[in-house]
Amino acid sequence: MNYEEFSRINQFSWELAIMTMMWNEGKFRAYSRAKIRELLTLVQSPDYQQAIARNIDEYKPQSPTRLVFPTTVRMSENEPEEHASSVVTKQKELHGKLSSALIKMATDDHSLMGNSIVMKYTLWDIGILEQTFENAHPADAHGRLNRIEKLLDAEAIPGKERIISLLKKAVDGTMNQTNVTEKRGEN
Amino acid sequence: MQDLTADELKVLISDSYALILKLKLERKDFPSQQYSVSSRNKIKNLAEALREMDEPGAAIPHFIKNAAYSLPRAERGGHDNKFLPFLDLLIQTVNRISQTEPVLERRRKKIQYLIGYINWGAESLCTIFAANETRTEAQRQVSDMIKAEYSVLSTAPSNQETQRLVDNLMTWGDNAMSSAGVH
Repeated sequence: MNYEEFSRINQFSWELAIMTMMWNEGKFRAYSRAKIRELLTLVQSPDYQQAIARNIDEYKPQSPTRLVFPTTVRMSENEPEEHASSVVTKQKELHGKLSSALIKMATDDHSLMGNSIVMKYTLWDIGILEQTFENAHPADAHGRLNRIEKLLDAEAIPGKERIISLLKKAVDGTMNQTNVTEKRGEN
Repeated sequence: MQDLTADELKVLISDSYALILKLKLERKDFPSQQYSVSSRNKIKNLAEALREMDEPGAAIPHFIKNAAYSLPRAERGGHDNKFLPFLDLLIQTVNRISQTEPVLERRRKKIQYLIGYINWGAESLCTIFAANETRTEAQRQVSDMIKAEYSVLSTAPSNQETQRLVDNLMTWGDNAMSSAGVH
């Protein structure tokens, strides 16, 4: 594999990984490793469009069974259900977005999707993001972004700015939801 | 490709010791005193990751991504934060090598040497700590080893610099954590 092809796969994998990240139970993590792996496998098949469409229809995320809120937060009776519902909605939304991105990229260049490194790197990048933002609080989120920036420098990614921009948006989404939780705690 | 110079090797040796100091050292006292770097196979496997891609421009990013993924990953799933200080310094060191070395093949060679020196250095130190009954004897051997390594280089560090490194390595040995489940 030459450097140009490698760089394209690396950029693509980072963007896919960021696309899967969401706020759930106080952690910034991928919506479902198992479902992501399924999509990355399906997109390599000859009839990937139909296979992915079926997969989207069949995806019924489980509601979180245990909700983690700060102990100081007083919730109204229906808040846990609202939270569980929003998590499920977000999971389905991310699954749909990832599916669309994979179909588009596979249609544009199916040889890219046939490369097993795409799956490996996407799952690795998800692991790196989850580790980097583990126990992250909004106050130190930008410090964590710096760690990813340094890693991207070491990976010599030409599209680093785009990746950081996408990641900031994903983290800001996390921050907004965290702020909502904190405001509830003040009431 | 031009061979690495003595000055370049000196920098890599210094970098390798700085990285060794970020590793967690474990000590077993029974049945005999033994030292080992925690999850040592992860460090050994880094060299393999650097060899997985032929193209040097791809090999280095692949190596560093592998390190960023595998080092903080617990063996039974989940996260293991003990490698984060090492990983941060490794990324910083790789970035510096990339900025200062324009030839890709030499860049990869430097990182290969760096990882090799980390493995050799850590192993040698573990052997010295275990083999010597007193701290003074161990310190003398560590000092001899460092001086011998630097003596072949054109610009060896000052005595003060060497002594500081020996002191830091001895403190690293002093702070070895007693391994669980060995008593």
